[in-house]
Amino acid sequence: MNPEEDILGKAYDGRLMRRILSYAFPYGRWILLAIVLALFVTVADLSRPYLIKIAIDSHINGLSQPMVSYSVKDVPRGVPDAVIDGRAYVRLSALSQPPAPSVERYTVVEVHGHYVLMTGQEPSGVPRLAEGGRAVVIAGRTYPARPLSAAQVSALRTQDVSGLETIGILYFLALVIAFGANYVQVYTLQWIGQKAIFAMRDDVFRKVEHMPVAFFDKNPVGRLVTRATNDIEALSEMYTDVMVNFVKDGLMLIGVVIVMFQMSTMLALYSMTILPVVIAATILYRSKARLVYRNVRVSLARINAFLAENISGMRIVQTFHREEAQKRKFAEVNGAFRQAGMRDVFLMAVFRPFMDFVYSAAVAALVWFGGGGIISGIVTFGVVYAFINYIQQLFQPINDITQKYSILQSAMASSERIFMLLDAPVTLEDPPDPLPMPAQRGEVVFEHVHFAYNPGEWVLRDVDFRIAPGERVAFVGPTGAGKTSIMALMARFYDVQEGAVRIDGVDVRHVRQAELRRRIAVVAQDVFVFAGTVRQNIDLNHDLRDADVEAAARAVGAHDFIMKLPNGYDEPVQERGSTLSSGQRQLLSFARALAADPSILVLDEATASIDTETEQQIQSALNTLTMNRTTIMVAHRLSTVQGADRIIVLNKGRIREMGSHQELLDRRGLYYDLYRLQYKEDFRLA
Amino acid sequence: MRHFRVLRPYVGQRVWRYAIGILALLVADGAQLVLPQVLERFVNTVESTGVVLSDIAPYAVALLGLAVVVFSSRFGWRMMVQGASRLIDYDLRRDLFTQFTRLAPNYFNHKKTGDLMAHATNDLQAVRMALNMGIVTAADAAFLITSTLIIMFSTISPSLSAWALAPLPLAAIVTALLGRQIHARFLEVQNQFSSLSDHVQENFAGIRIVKTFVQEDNELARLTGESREYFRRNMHLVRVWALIDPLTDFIVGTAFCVALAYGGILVIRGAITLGAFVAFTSYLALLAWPMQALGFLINMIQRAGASLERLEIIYRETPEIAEDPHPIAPSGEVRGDIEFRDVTFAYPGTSRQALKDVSFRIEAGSTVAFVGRTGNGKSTILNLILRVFDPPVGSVFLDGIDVRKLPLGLLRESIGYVPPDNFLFSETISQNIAFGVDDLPEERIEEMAEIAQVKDNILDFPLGFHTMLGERGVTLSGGQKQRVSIARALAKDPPILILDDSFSAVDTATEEAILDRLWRVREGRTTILVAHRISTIKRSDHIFVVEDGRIVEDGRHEDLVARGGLYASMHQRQLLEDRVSGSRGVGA
Repeated sequence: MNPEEDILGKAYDGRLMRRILSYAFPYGRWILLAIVLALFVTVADLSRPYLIKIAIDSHINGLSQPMVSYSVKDVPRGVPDAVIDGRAYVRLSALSQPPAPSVERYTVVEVHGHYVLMTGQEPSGVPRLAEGGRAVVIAGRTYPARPLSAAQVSALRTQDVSGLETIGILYFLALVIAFGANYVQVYTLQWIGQKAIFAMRDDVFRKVEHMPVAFFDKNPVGRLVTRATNDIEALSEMYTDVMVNFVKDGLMLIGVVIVMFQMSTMLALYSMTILPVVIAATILYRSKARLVYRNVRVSLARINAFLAENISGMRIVQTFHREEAQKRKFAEVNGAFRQAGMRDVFLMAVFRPFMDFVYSAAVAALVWFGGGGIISGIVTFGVVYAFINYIQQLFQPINDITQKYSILQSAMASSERIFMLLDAPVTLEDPPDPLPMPAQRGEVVFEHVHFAYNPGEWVLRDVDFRIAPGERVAFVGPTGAGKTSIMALMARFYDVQEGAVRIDGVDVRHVRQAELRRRIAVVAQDVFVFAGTVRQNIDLNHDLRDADVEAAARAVGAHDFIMKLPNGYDEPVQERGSTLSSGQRQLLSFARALAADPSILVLDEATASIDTETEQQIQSALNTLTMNRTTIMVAHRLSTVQGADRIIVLNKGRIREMGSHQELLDRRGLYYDLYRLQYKEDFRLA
Repeated sequence: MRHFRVLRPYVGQRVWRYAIGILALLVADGAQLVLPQVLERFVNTVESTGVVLSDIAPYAVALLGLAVVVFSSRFGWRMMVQGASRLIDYDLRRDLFTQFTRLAPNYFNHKKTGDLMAHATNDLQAVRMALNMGIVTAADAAFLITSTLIIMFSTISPSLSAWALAPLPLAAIVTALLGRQIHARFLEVQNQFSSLSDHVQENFAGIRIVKTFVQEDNELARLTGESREYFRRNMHLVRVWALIDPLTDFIVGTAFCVALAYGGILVIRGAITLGAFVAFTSYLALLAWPMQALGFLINMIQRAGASLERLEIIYRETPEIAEDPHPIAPSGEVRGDIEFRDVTFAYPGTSRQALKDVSFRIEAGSTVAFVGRTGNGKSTILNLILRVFDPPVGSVFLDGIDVRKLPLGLLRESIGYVPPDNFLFSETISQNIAFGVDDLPEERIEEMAEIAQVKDNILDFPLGFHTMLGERGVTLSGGQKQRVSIARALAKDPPILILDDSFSAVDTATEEAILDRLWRVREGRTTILVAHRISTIKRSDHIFVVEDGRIVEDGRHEDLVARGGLYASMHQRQLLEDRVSGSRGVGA
């Protein structure tokens, strides 16, 4: 784990967030759709407690609503009525226009299980029957009334039953809409999120792929892989877990508040008082959770590291009989994880039930204040009931946001690292106006080249040579002499500090890197097999005809073994777990080099690990390959370079000697020493 | 389910925690069951006529009281049950590691480290979930569902209960079925993620090659393809995943819909009170969660079962190499006399005989060497002495006792071993050298490093002997690792020292210096050398030449040279090479 991964990070950073979201901008229309759908979900969800409120107030408690009476034939069209003793009674709430106050009101009153139809509107107070059911006394006033039979009550109730049925249907409709809209909304946002993540990952791939080699010297591969995989995954989680709920949660929060205030300002104000408590608790939780989760993650990483090492080193542990000692060490890391887990348990054990407690306390408060409101007639019972539901819906989004906090936090840290990578300057770019590569000849010139990977640490000093087209030149020298650096400069993996590198007369900095590198084919000791088919591995994007691929394979003697593969040239191969032997891989790389028809061929220790059987084959393939081509050999085994036209001896970044094998031996200088040492090195019984 | 028996002793140890936790859980559930009753009475009170504010005060107070009870009992069960799951998680992981230490080295040759680690993290996590949320959910669901059903049917309305509850089992079925689908698709996503990671790793690691062959665009297309497949599988998962919440909401919603319409009508008809109606919807809300949870529970238990099955296989694995039930300890110190008697040995699972009728004796206190080509049996001989693999009974002896009869710990403690692969731990250099010994004093550590000719290298680091090795510290060169590894074996001051091709990355001058010190330090104690260079072994008291699983020649250097056999021809070649090079030195 490097310090970069330890960054705790802010939970929210507007600049980063805008950039993360910019990946979703191309899908603006779909985002709009998702928001509209979320609106549907919110309205549908909010309508459910409201429908229950109507059911309670207008229907279940509908009997106590004041009515006016009509002659049966005068009842307005479409208004439910109940006929009692030849007159039709209609509820005030059912009329679009309330009749003048002078029109007589009627109310059904229930006294000890007996129902009477009272003339007048019922004020609050305890009713009492008088005159044998012909009058009702409330708060000292007497109202005329008539007793109602069970059938008459039931007639008055008919509209409530049908009303409830309608509400049931509406409620079901709300469920269907919420279900459909919810599913499509979540799916759409997920799709957008995945698209954005895909685009971001592609940006990272593109960036890394086009970074100069020097960049990889400074950034360990493992870290770059983490950027492209785990870090982006953290962002993906943010998109899928946080974004998806964010729109809905936000709308729900706003919706609940609006509906509450619309229903009862007093109860809404009371309800809002819990918000500071909830927010304070949430903030406190957040600050604690941050540390706790970090501890859990870090201690789990330690367990993983310990296990990985001890499993692969178990042989050492056992041969040193250190099982007990290692168990003690493991108890430490395991115990730290348990400890971190326990803190997490404690935190959740306090926070989660506490949030539930706040909700219950709010319900208790609603019972108290709402109950008072019902008694004084300010609110109806339906409203109180709806509030109990709405308060719950108020908690949901807040809870959600709290839970997603740690996701948001790691997403921020990850995005910071990703953007840092995306913004890393490309230090070695193609020239703005690249020169065309001249016709193929194969001349390589180093003009007084000075080169250092790190400022001040010279790797090449004043290296100056010319390799003529078609010449065979070998570079030798002890490890660290600068052989590899010369090859890297030829392909312009790095830029020289002083002097110039010219291929066929052109400075390598003045042409496109891709074009330059196509001129040079490298055959290395470890042959890299790209995932794909054998054919693709020979062709390597040159779009050769099948016949040309085959011709190249034949020329180096690779055709025979390729034809023996189950799918011939279309046999799938890959870098790891390849079925090809090292000799076959070598022949494949020769065919690849021949097919590319480069003007410069670099043999990097190419024949170092070949068994005797294939050696003959390889030698003749090499002859085919090097014919009419500038060939540059890098070798540690001096026996392989003896046939070169010229040998350039390097030491500590300088050219020490130059000449043919015999000339150099006669000189009795560095080459002579190296040659003698070689035999010592070669003596191995293995 | 039978795999859960593995857990019995672990859960048994925490039985009180679980008992108290479940009790607390039931208290919380009970309080929640009382709540609708309070609401019912409140509604009926407030709906009746002539109520004053003081009449409803008891209900508000009761609700608050219940909230306090629920809070404290929820806190209680979380601490107890979730705490227990953490404790058991620790115990299981501890025992898993202990089991790893018991299994023979050969076991680890056949298993991927990543897989074994997955057991210690992912599988244990699945088990922990089952022990924690699983047990809670099961107890919760069982209690809440039965008691709520009883209350609903007996105190409110059987017909309303029957109709309204009808959709709820669907919620359990849907979560179970979709949950399974989600899990399967999630695994596909995970697999593709590893594939993507592998490709990225391969590509980034080979970037120089990619650039050399100008394959950037090709490779990008391949990575994009992997990424696109990852996208596709994610959406495949989303199709089901996005369904589960809305669908269960819908199912639970229909129950409420029925309760509202039918329950409302019952109130109108006077069959139930408005309070009972409110209580009924509260109970319904109480039931909705356990019903959904049942579906999760089934999946959780299945997953934990699968994980336990994998864990059980490891827990039950019998170590290939185990101490004899009645070990024979030598009287007194181990002297270091080693004898092979007609040892014929083939590695488990192979038919090729790695050793054929090998007999020899290494006198206590002598220095012997094995030479021969790779794969001819030298390392096998060492493996049998160390009991990395078991020799046949009655074939390999230490101080006259069959190594299979010796206490395993004693055998290995008597041997200082320098392996060819130089495995070091990600600890400080000091800790690595002191690895085999408890409380090794600093001076001893430095002395060992000095003998192994690595002290100067170590002191070049800013933190000297306290330099961390590995990913979080410095990476040593192969030669430095080999020398630290030699110091580590020497630090044990063992009766027997084995150096298995331990100088391959060390230059000849340094090798000579180490050997010079070794001869002196090891004076009078058994030392076994395996090497490729004859110069390394020439001074040994006795040399065994191993060829094709047999000892073909043996004797002192001079005798072997005089004999004119295989050893002599090897030696001849070396002399020839020496003449050509003329001097010793560092290779090119």
